[in-house]
Amino acid sequence: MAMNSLLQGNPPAHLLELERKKSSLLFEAQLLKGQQQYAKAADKFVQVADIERQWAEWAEKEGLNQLTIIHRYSELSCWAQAGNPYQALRLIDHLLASAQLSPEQRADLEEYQASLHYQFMHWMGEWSSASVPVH
Amino acid sequence: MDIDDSISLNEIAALHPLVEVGLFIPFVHYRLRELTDGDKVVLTVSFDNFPFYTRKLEITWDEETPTFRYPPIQSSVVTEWAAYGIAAAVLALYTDFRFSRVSVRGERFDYWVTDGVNLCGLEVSGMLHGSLTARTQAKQQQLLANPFIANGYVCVVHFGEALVQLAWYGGES
Repeated sequence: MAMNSLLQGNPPAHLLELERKKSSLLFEAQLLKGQQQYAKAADKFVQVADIERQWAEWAEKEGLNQLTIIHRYSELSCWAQAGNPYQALRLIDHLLASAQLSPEQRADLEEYQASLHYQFMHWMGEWSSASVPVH
Repeated sequence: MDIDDSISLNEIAALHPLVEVGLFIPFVHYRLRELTDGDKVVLTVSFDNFPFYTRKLEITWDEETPTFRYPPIQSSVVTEWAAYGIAAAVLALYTDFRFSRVSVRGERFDYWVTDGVNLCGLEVSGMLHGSLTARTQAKQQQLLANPFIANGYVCVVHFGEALVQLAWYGGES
């Protein structure tokens, strides 16, 4: 059973404000997805990815390793949800090189990597096939 | 009916300054208005760690409370988002934790919550039918499968039976 809480440090006000904005953006993204407005939803996820990147950079500077991993994880997930698996896979490679990952996190990330990689290869194959019209 | 605690839907958003909880209030309002023609509902809140202890929580609203006639999204999402709003009220009333950040993926819970120092998980689920206990147990397993080794809460809201269960998993709460 999980026994440890994570320390959150003392984040600056502008990051806390961005976190509040993030919660609103994610709400809008889910709402847009539910309404099948995928391009607009993707735009929200890209904005959230940028917020997660800022959090991760701050946490890394503060030496808050687990918080850094959480936000890196969220960042790459947002790229995937925005329809950019290539960027997500690049970030996974970077994160997997970190010695700070626990065995559970590494296993979870590798599983996600395999899933994304499969979808990415399938997508690349679709776009290079003759069934895609070329103008 | 004896009431232990009371809160207005209009108060909930201000209890969680780090997250836009107010976005969920119209969904809570929509689900609770299905239970009454009036302007209040009493929910029975139980605590998994204290099986014989319950609180009667009165939730009120007024003409200022945001709502909608037709939800902009499918029913299951309405129920889930309404549960987020109830969880925000219950967490603030009965614990020292507040919503801190939305989890995006991988955590296997919906929110990180904080007491000002620590971060823990919060998994929320809403339901209209079925077993509250079974849903709570399923959500417990989901929470504890997270790869971030966090303690956490599970809050399940059964709108059909006006019940809420709040459970803590991990070390001492």
